[in-house]
Amino acid sequence: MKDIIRLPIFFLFVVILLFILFFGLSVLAYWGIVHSEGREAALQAVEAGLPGLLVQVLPAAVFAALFILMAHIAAKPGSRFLSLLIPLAGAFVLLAVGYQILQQLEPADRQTAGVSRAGAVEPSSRRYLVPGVFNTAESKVIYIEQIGERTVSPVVLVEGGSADRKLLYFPQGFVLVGDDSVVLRMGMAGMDRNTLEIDPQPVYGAMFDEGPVLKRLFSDVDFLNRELLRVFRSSLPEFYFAVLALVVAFYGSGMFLRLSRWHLLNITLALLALRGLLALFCLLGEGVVFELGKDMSNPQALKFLPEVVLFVVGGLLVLIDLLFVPFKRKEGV
Amino acid sequence: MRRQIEQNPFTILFLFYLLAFGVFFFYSIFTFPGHLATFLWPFVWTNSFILFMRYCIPVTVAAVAVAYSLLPAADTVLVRSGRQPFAKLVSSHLTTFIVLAVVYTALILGLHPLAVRNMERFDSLTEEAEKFLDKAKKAMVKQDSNTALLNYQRYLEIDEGNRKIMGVVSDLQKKMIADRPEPPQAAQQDRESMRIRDLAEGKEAYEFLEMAEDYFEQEDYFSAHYYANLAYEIDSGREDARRLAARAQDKIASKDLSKLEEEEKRLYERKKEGYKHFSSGDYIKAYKVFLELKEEYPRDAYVNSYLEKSVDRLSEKHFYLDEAEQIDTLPGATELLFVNYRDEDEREIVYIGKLAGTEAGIFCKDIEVLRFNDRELLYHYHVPYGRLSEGAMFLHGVERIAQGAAPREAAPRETEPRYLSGASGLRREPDPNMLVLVPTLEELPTLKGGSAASASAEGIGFLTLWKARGQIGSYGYLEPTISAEILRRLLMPFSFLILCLLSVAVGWRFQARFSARPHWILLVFMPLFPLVAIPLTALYLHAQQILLNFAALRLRFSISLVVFLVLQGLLLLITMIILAGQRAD
Repeated sequence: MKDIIRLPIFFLFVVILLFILFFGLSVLAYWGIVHSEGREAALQAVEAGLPGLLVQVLPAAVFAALFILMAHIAAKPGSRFLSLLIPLAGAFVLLAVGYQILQQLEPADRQTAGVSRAGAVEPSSRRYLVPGVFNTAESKVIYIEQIGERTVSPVVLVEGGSADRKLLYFPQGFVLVGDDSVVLRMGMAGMDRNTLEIDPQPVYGAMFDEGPVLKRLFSDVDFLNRELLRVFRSSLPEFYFAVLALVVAFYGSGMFLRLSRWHLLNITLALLALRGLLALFCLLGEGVVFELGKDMSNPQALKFLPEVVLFVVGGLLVLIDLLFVPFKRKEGV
Repeated sequence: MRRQIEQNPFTILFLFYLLAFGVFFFYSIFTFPGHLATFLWPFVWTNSFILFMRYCIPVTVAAVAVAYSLLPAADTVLVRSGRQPFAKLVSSHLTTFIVLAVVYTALILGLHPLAVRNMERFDSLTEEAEKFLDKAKKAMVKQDSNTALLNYQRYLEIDEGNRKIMGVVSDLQKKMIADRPEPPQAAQQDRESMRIRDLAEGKEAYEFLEMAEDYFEQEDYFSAHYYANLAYEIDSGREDARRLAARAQDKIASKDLSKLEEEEKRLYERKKEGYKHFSSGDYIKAYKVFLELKEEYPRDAYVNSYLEKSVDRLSEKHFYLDEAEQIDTLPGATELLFVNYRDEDEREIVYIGKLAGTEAGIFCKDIEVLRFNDRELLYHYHVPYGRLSEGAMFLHGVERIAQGAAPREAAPRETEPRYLSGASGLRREPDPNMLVLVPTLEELPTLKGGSAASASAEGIGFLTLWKARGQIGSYGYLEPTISAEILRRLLMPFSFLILCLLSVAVGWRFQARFSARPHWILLVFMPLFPLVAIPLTALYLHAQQILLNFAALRLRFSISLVVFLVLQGLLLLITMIILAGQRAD
């Protein structure tokens, strides 16, 4: 019966620890990304982005802590009932309640907006272009001597590669920063005019980029966050169901932690299962729902497909765990 | 043997390494991009090495964890006299891990950048070779055999073993030999006989005057006039020389010249012209004149001597195109871009398509320079080749004509800056054919920002990067990105060691508890361990990089280094505590 106190405290401790770690790293990364805007503007942007970052790191912290708790239970099995109840209930409560509390920290106008994102402060052109240095913009390189509010002067566009003229000079230009693109209009008129529309990639963005190995994982976590936010904005019961489905599915992957006598293999399989479930959730939400929606008369009916599938798969894994996988293994047998 | 493998974790580690390298090797064979076939095996080896280095940490982590999780606890821990604590057992392995970390450091900091540069070389040389082939084919269509042959030969300098192109070149050469007209030998002999028989080199004025008098007596008034003039130029006080020259001039004027004498007169006039150019410091014109004369009068000592002198002087501020063009087929740093910060009020942006060294010097190709101030563009020019020498780039290239080459109709080629705009601005420069460079030769390869694709610093050596960091901001680059790259590279060996030790603890903590020997079927699961280790190690590295990159942005580099060392020390300490805390049973 020690588990009734030990497990929740352990879980809470790990959640808080991971939450602080993830949040700290997210803040540093975000601060670094907006660093080129100048000290004041960067601080404002970070301050405005804090509630968004808090909400974003919560699911990752809870699910990572859930996995650690399950590994802990597998290593030191106690009461089977509490080992089922505490992780499931703890993760559900922390995520569902924590999410709602953290959402309250967001300003009211952004709570009702479509999708929350960190850094909702209007970015300036300095986030994407720095004067006096070569700025990389997709396949082009741009050198700008001075950057004003909307104007830039003079501009040198580096075409490079096999272009006849590698360097193009423009005495002045205009820069427009939008949500989806940064438009740089150089030259005055006629032949000498050149317009460049680039993705808004912050100057220091590449330094804090997750790299190719983690790109897919981070994009899946982003999708999970977007999906949670979507259902949260949709209705509270739907949000609770989504949280429950995710918690059950990720708890279900804990079945692999007791699969064999080789604990390292068990952990490896469990991690793969966890990753697989996250990938499945994204695949269903991003690909399958979209494709099926094209053929259905009522695509809205599919909007809970990822959560339902995850709930069913998770439920099955939990069932297999309960029925077939021994909770405790005797040493050396 | 099997027992040995199970008891020695390093056997499993090296098996993992071998298997990983094998996988990367086969992967590289099947993913060979459209490079020249001659680069297939170099590419496969290099790419395998790069992939191996990229995944070395996760493979090591997986292998060490597997090895320690499979160590038969009873056999290993109970050594002869009794139980040994786990920490004591592992301490004997620590030395090997440290040695491995040192080897990894040498490979990641030393060999890895070289391998990346090698890959860039395959890319750029394939591109160059394709250009030569394309030019050669177009020249063939236009029936320009010379150009076609030149470009095929250059292609073969890159793709040496291409039998098909070798066959084409051989056929083309045969055809060109068959089509070549016979040289007019009689005329050639006449010209050669007309050479001035004495070398004017290193003589005093009185000696020239004596020679001139001899020629005058022999009624060779051209030579007499020539040497008398030379004597007068050396010593302007020698009125007798001036008078002799005038007498010879009168004789020439009063004489009905034969065809041969006309030719001799022309030779004399040309020599005089060449000498005048040489004396006035216009070595290119002097070179051209003497080069033409050399083709006509190959045995003329005076021509040979002044041609040699012109060549020597020329190489001080100019270069030969044949030497510069060698870099087309050589590997080098490509797409360099920098701000050539020479003036507070003006900016000069320099683009260099390629930089490479040959035996004749360090050359650049495809150079574009743009200079502007707050108000206007001052100049913008392009020059195909340039030679680097002592902080300057010489932009004037001339064609060297090989000795004994067939006479040509076209004038020797020359390359100079071609003004795209603002020519007047360039002419204001003290020497329009010389570009003073602020970056040193060592710094130039680090300025690879000419295109977004080439901007990666992976191919730059660690020491070069370290040295370039202090100045790179003044060349138009963000200094924190270089600091971050340096910290990233330093992070790798530390992470290797820390994660190795951590995976020892993890492997031991999650040991297999088999009553009998593990079943062979477990081998099927082995590839899963690196698959999981890859994102886990990537997360570990990413988290640290966020912290270090932030430090590089906000703090001075030296403080960032301190942060880095403190962080690594802390992580190593935690790892050692975890390791020491493992139970022996």
